[in-house]
Amino acid sequence: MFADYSWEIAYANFLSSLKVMGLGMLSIFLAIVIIYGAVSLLAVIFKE
Amino acid sequence: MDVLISGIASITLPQVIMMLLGGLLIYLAIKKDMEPSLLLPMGFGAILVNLPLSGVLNQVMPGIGETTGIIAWMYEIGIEAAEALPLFLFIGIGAMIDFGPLLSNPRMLLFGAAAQFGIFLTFSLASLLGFELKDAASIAIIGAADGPTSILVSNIFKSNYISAIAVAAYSYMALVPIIQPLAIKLVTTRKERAMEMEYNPKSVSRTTKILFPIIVTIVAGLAAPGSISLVGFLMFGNLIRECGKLDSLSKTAQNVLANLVTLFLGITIAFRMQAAEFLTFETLLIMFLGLFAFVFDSISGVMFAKILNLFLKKKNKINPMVGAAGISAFPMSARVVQKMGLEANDQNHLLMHAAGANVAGQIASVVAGGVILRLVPLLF
Repeated sequence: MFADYSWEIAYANFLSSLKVMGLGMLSIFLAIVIIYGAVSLLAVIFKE
Repeated sequence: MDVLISGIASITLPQVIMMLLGGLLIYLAIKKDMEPSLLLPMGFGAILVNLPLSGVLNQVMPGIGETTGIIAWMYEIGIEAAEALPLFLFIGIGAMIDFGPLLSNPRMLLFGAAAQFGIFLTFSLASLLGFELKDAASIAIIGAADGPTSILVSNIFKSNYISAIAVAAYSYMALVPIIQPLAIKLVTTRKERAMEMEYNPKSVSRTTKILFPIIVTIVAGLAAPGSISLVGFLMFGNLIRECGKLDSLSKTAQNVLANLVTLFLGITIAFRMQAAEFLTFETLLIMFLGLFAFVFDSISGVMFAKILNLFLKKKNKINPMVGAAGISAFPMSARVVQKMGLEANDQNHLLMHAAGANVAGQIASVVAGGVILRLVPLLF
């Protein structure tokens, strides 16, 4: 891995990873917030 | 005579080192009680696959041709083909989890999401260190504190480092009681750790408990289709538990299935612990990156709680340590938070809050795995 280390490739991958970071965290929060909403709704509909 | 000593004569130093490493894993499992159900089979498997001309691996025998080794076969069928073993284990884990504490306090879901940030931070760091994107993503998932997800993601990406990733993921899960207190203390004051939280759980209806796994599966499947096998099998196990009609299957999934799969998973993963593949500088680096991911997942959970507290009324404020329980290591992480809360203030009982965040971490970590599986291939 380090024998053929290329700063240019590593830096390009790093920049791509930042995009994945932004989109990834957004997707996770989106999914979780939808589940949060659904759970809250269920709690109201099926109150014991 | 040559035939008799051929095994001894062909042993190499790296193989000896790997067998010693196998012995160390067995020692840690038995003496230190570190994830014994997984580290012991892995340790023994490491010895099996590193014996010269080992019959548990595929070999070419003079006069016979190629023979199939049992561990090589188990790896091909149980992991390589469709990740069956990690997914079967998820059915058992799903059947074990009580989502009650989360459903009665659903805001804890947010901590599950926040505590996945370390995964992406590690992905960036590993990329910068020169790992290929598929390997960097596989390494980063160690931070999910979720062994089966780590194995599944690294296998789908055909990472070259699956064995090191599996060892790191399960070792750090076992080290949660040591790593997390250090990470939490780095970013909290004693006063923050002593902060009490009221616990007024709402009752949760049976219908809600039954609908929850179905809804989570559909939402996670739509948001991250790559996670559907993970989430689906986890939630299938939970549905069996909560439906109230399949008690026998639920108990089987929790005990027999989970134990059986764990037994085979450890020894099967050891297939990738062959000396030539495992004894590299990259393995050391992966161990470091796994630790980095784990620490920053905990820290990001704590920081998220602190940020949230800026907007909450005093009576609703959250003890920042609860955020750290948003990782998937269940129930160790919740216990760590409870213990640290009591150390700071002997009236501070955080277990139920932390348990809610902890099971949220189970859901969020598999969603994170799915998100990584969906987004990273777009960069190839």
